[in-house]
Amino acid sequence: MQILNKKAKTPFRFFECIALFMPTGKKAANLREFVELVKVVSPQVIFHHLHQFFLKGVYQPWDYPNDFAHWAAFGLEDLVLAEKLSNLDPYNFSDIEKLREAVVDIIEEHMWESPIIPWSRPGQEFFFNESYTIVVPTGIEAETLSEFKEGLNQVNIGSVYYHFFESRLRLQKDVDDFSFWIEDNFKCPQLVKDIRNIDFYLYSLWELRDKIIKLLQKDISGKREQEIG
Amino acid sequence: MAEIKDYQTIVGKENIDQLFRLARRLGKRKVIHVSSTRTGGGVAEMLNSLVPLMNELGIETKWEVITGDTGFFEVTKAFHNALQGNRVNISERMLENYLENNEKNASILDLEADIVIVHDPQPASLIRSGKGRAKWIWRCHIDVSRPERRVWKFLKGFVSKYDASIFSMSKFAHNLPHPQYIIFPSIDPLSQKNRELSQKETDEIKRDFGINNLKPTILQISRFDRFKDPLGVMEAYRLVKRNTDCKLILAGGGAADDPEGFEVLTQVKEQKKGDPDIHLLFLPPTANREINALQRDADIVLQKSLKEGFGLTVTEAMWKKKPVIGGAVGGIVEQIFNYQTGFLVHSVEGAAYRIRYLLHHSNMARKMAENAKEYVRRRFLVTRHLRDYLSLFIALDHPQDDYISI
Repeated sequence: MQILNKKAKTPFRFFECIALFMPTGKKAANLREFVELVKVVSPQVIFHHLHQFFLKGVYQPWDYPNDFAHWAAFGLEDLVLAEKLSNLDPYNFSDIEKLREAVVDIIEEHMWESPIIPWSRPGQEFFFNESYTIVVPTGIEAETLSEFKEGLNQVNIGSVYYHFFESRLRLQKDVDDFSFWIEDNFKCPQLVKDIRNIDFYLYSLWELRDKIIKLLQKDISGKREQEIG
Repeated sequence: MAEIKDYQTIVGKENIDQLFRLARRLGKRKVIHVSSTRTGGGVAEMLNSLVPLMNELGIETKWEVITGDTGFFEVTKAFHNALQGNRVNISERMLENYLENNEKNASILDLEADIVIVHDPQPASLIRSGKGRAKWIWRCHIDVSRPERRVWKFLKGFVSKYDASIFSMSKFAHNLPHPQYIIFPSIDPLSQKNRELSQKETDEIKRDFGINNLKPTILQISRFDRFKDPLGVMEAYRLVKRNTDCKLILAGGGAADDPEGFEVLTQVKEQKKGDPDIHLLFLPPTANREINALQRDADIVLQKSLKEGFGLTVTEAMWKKKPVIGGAVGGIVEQIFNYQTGFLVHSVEGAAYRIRYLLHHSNMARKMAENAKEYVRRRFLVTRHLRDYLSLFIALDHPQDDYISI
């Protein structure tokens, strides 16, 4: 169990992220209007609807994983498009303009194959938002893996978003803050690998936190200790 | 009165700690909320919870209520209808009366603060009397997505002077010359209306209302207001009754600023047509415990609104683990995730069909209700509302940014 209490070179400082939603006033009633607006809205709007979707606390096992797919399913009742947009993982794109291009490609290809342009019912139009993001230090720090696990339980769910989702854009590489810190401070290659192997796009932030805590429990307190000790 | 630590077991320590962290970042602030009534209606309910909690977090917060003559509340009710899309007749004299009443209020109220939050159209023109050093925020709780043009044009003249505005849904937002934010309303899980009740308390309240038969209960709690469609609810009940026996409770709270309620209630009474299974309860604004009991005792809760700002009765019933059927309008679509946290309907027939379905599929009803409660815990409780307000105050300090790290 020594690894649990081994001190890190640098402590892990937990931050949390809060997003206030701001309407842009732009709306689309049908798919053609929608795609034309997707082409011109600010990058912050794309970021809000695709990346920050998880931060809203909406995502449930029954839902689609971003606002565009959600609207395709429930606003336009176009389930084929909803499925195509669900499969687009925004975190696979380091450049938001490339992501925008990918969204436009999916929709235009879908429209090309479809004989009609789907419309939403009045009141079910898509309203484009952006967000005001506030990042706050929580004051919670971890110097050991044991403290890290404890800290993860103490922080708000916005912290999981900040360190696991947003880090990929901030660090400009496909890595979360948690595994980055563990790799940098402890010899736990399997734990680092396990965390990086999580298909995080399919989890709510609550599920993700539970999953990471379980991995920490499994990897540092149990059967893998001999490998790393 | 609940203290902030009491919410810890409901939303988790991490969310309460976050509120204190945000409040500490803000430091010393004085905030004043201004609304049109202290009792009745969602705004008053929310402020009753939010104001003491904000104070406990260290943000000095006051709540002022405007007063007005009968003519004033008639015109503001007409505004309410017009902003939700109904055609209304408002004379120039009525508009003058609105302005005069608010001028009088501005001269009486102490609005010296760092942030003044003005709720809904009734006090909106207070800003004409000067802003002082404060940042002014207009908090709109109603569905203004398709307002009557003349009334909106009149109000927009004042609203444009504010530093920011808050809407409950992005579809309600308008082209205004200042930042706009979306903040969902909330319920207080520890208020009289939502706290846990014992079976004994619930039974006593039912007995007081003379509700004693064992038929399944369909309930709609809302003001007797045309937009809540109480007549449509009665029609849906009658369609259900053809196949499945049940009873209907229509219970409405009045509000001090709503003179139209009694008129709608009269129409509803006519439509009851002597049916002993329809219970009409006109409740005073203080009947929170009674509403709580009725919601807890119901088998299905309806909110068949035709227009809705947000529809907090939906959230209340979801929190009490009730299957809810709501009209697919306004903020109800944000709360009810169709088929998962309730049913959304678009017609009387749709409401009737879903009632019948749920009455015959109790497992489905139970699963939906469980999903609903967790959904509310994450998104629609007062603690999240507090977090959004505190975040907004931080955002107001940095109006040029859209991403700040503090």
